[in-house]
Amino acid sequence: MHSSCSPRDCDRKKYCVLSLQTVLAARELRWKNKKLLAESLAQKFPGHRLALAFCTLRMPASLRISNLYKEIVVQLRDVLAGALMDGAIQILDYGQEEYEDGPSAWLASDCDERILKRMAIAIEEGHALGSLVDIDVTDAKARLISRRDMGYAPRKCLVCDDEAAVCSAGQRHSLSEIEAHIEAIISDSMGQEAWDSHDGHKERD
Amino acid sequence: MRVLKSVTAGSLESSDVLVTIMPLSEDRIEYDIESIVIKQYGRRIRKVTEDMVEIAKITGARIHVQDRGALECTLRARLETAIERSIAC
Repeated sequence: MHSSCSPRDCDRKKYCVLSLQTVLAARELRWKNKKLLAESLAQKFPGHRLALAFCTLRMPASLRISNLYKEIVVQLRDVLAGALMDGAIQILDYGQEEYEDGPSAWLASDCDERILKRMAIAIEEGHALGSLVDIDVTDAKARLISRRDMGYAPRKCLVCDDEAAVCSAGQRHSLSEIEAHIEAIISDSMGQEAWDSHDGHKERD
Repeated sequence: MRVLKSVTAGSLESSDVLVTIMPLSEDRIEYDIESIVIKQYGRRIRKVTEDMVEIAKITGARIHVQDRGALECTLRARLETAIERSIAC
């Protein structure tokens, strides 16, 4: 447990390195920044249909800030950028940020947000490292498009086959168990970097 | 204590919860609880929310909880912040 958390409230003992307050403040800041970014892009690119994608690490906070996996968010944001370019969809802007609870990389494209969300899901599900990231997609007003809205099944847990949200909300797996699965995913991904955006298949080099 | 203004706390990121509190003209509390894990944790989320609102003794509000799989400590922290913001002058 982090020293600044009160013992009564804290049930994050398993994963805790950052204080709960730090993680919650970072999430709220990122949420507000998404809105500000969407507003400023709408002004900068009038007449374009804006859709935004935000790539963050999908693992406990202590691993998100560890620097070991930092490049993955940029790498997969760039995979998404490649898929957009293959589809002749314009990328209007892109960037990356470091928050107290981990890295984030984003891009803004000129397309229907549902098309962007579909591409993001294809990467989350099909890319060798896709299970290690969340690619959140919003419309020009920073409204989140959910898998459910699109008729897709919820994401699976990194460790078992259950629904990810159920496992993480219930803290069903230990940090070491999660870490071992992440390492296995990364070592399996070696030599499978190529990504074909047309059929979403991985290719061995 | 009456809720004075519309406020939010949290986000719709995975493992977080967005709590929105809006003032009502009548002296009652309305709850609207949504969760992606409603089947597994819905009852617990409702209980924690109602308990915290009761302890804070606020009234005249609609409490909208949009849960994206938050831990209970996260839900408690977000509710606490939203309640504080809703009664701040």
